[in-house]
Amino acid sequence: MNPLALLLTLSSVMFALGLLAVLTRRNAILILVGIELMLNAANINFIAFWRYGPPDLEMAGPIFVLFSIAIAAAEAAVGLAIILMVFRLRRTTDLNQLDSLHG
Amino acid sequence: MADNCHLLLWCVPLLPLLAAGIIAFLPDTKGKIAAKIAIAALAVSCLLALGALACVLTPGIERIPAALTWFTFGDVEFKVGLLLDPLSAGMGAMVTFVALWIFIYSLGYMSEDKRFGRFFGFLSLFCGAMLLVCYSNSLLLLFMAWEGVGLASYLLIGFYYQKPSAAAAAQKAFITTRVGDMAFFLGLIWLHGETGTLLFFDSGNGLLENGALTSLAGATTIGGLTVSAAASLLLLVGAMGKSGQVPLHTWLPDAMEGPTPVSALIHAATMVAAGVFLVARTHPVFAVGGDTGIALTATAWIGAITALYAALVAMAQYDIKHILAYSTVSQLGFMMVALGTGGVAAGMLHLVCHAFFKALLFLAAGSVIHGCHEEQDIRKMGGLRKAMPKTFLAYAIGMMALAGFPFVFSGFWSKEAILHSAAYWPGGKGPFVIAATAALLTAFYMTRQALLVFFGGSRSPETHPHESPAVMIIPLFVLAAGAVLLAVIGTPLWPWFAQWLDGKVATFHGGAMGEHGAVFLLVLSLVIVTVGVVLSWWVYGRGGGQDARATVARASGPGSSFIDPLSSKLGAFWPFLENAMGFDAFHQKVVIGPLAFVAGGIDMLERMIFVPLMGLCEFVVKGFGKLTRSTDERGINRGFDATCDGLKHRAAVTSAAQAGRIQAYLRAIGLGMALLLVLHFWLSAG
Amino acid sequence: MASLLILSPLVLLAALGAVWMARPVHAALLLALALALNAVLYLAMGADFIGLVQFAVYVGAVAVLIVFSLLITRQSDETEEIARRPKALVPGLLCTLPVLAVLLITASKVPAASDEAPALPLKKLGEILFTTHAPAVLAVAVLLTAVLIGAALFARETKPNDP
Repeated sequence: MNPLALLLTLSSVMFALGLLAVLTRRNAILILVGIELMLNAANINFIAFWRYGPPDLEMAGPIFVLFSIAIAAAEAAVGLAIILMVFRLRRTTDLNQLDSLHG
Repeated sequence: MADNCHLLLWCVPLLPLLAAGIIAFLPDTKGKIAAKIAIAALAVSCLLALGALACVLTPGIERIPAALTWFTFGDVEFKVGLLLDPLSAGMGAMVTFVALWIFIYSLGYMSEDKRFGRFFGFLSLFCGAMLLVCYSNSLLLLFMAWEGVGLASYLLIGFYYQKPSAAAAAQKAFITTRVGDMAFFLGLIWLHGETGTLLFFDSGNGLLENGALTSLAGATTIGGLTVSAAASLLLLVGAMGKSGQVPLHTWLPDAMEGPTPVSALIHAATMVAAGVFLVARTHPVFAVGGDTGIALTATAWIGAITALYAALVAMAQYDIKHILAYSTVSQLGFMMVALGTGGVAAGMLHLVCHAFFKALLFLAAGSVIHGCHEEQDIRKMGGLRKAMPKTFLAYAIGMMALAGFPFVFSGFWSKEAILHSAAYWPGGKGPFVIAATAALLTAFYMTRQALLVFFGGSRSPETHPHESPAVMIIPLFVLAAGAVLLAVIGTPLWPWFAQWLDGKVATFHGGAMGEHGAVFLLVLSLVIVTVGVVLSWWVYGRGGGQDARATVARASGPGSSFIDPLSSKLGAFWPFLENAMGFDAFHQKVVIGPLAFVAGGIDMLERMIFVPLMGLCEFVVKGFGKLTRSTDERGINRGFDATCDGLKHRAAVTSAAQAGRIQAYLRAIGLGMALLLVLHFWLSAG
Repeated sequence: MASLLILSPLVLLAALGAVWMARPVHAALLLALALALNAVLYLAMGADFIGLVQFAVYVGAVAVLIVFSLLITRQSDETEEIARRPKALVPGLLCTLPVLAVLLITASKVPAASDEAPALPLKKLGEILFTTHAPAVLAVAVLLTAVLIGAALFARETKPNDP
């Protein structure tokens, strides 16, 4: 099997797993876990194409991953801060109980 | 052979680490199993370490470095590896052997503790890290293991973390050694920057081989100091932190808050020797400047001052473990003197011998404490000779080895070797005189302790001391045998150990007695021990029995009113000694005081300037907010309200879709995405 | 290639655990494992620096942050922890499976790979990062500063009588 296809399969399944977590988890923090998985799946693709794809002299793949990791860290920090804030106000992180947006 | 050796060598440190990992996942109730795992792992690594020792027993320097690239960071390769040479093999065998018996002893000593299993997990972690320190072929790996050892020490000192004093002692140990570690780390970076490698031996390219040493000797830095001297001084500060040299020694006596087997293993036999080992390992770098270079001179003087200081303080302590702790500090000072004046052999010989008899003394002290129902004050002991004859015998052997009783005890020969190297050091007689004085004091305070604990009459007649169980007594005798038998390898007549470390064939050295005034030193050592013991007996032993009985008769309470005969003679000097010459207060004043002052200043700055500034900002923003709010409410809202009411009624119809369930929204998005994706795929495929 | 064959199933198992585990703390710890294995995967592919960054940022910071948040938000009065709604599984799979199918079909169609391992010289990476991508680096710097301030503001204890 060709290694690029193997890595792309890996990242596809990982992305799908992350999506499943986002759609089915009730705990807001665990939804964040799913998002992290999806981001990582994308990063694997970048590195895989850099390694096995056509020559990449400007190293776009690794650089994109660097930015992606930086932004993912920012996202996690803000996301968790928001969740903690919500938890402080409502004493829960269960998304089903956080339905004050209802009409 | 070399390849197999490497694999097996890796097993020595990794087995205890593995055991620690397994134990970490066992519940607290499975303490017995945890202890079995820990002891089995250590026993196997002890066998392997002894096998490794056998590998290098044949004379001729045989270094088997194993270097594998750990990771490449840009152009810089970081290699780690293990090293099998006489120094590491001897140290590793000593650590595993002593540790194994201390583990077995702990089975008895800790048997009533609820967190029995966790204790063995920490001990295994410690052993694994310590063995990595011994066998490491890279300063970087050594440093990492060094920190691991520090962590295990922190965990074990604070094992009784419910006791505030134990928690404080653990923090103190961690922070004080951190000062040294920082210097160590700077030295490490400097050496790497200068030579580009951190491996000790790497077929000619290593840090301790000629190429790197010459380049180190050539480069100079501020004040004309060579880089080798500056880096060695930094390494020395690291070693001082770990090995409790003045002024970074204050954590070591406090570390006695940990369980006694821990004191024996970590704070007497092995971990505190890591600093000495570091100096021994990097001795070629220290020695670049010659025998009287600044690095070795500093080592010798710091060691000498520490040896004398700690011996003086040990004279005035009442806690049985504190006496042994200060004596450890003092003996570590002796080792530093040896490394500074004579070279690796004398220092390492004393290190190995000391490990045996000091572990023995601590374990025997633990047996005494256990037998006296957790009493540690020697003023409340006395006459234990009859109640605990086996412990007494073991203790006596350890005490005589430490005090340097002639001929059959290892301590005599190793101390004699140190005095010998100090006496003929070209850099001056200072360290020799100080070390000789400290040796005399050693004999004095050890005799004092033995007399007060085991002889005379009991000073607390209401307690009934008992002998400890066999599982605690057997390790005592194994270690005692070691303390005696090790004397054989270090006598000047047959200096096997020294020649082995240098890679020479050991020979009987019949003429040794005639050289360099060796007889003079031998006689001097004898005189020192005799004077120390006799003086001590004269002060404490002579009629000590009646004194004690008289004390008991005078005070009906437990013999807390026992007054040390020396205290009246020394006057104001006694409390000074009792408080360890005020080093803790000194640190409080010189280090912590200014820090607290600066912190206070910053706090003040915050209160005086930032808080009012913030208040001003708040005032302005709030005023503005009030203004906009009033225009909003009066001017704009009224018109909107009517419109809004109308909208609201209609909105109720559409709002059914807006259930406010975040996941329903997410699912809609997901479904949309899936549809788009499939559609796109369809179109592009077709 | 062999290392990829060994690592890939491990990464997937860890990720599956992170999605499937009922107890939130277990899920978060498995996420940390998956991220760490991912870092190893990068190392195996020769992207050393990216692997180290992944380790430091994802495993060291993000995963730890998530575990801490879970520990903070654990309610003492509720014995059953919030994990999953079984009813949601059907619509979840309904969305996920088509996506997975499309991705897998696309993945299977990639052309054969070139097996020349490209180099990742750190110096050049830094040069490119701070010349070609300098504006982006600045933007990320501003973003991270904003995040720092924002997170601190969010996490600050608010007084009940604040307007």
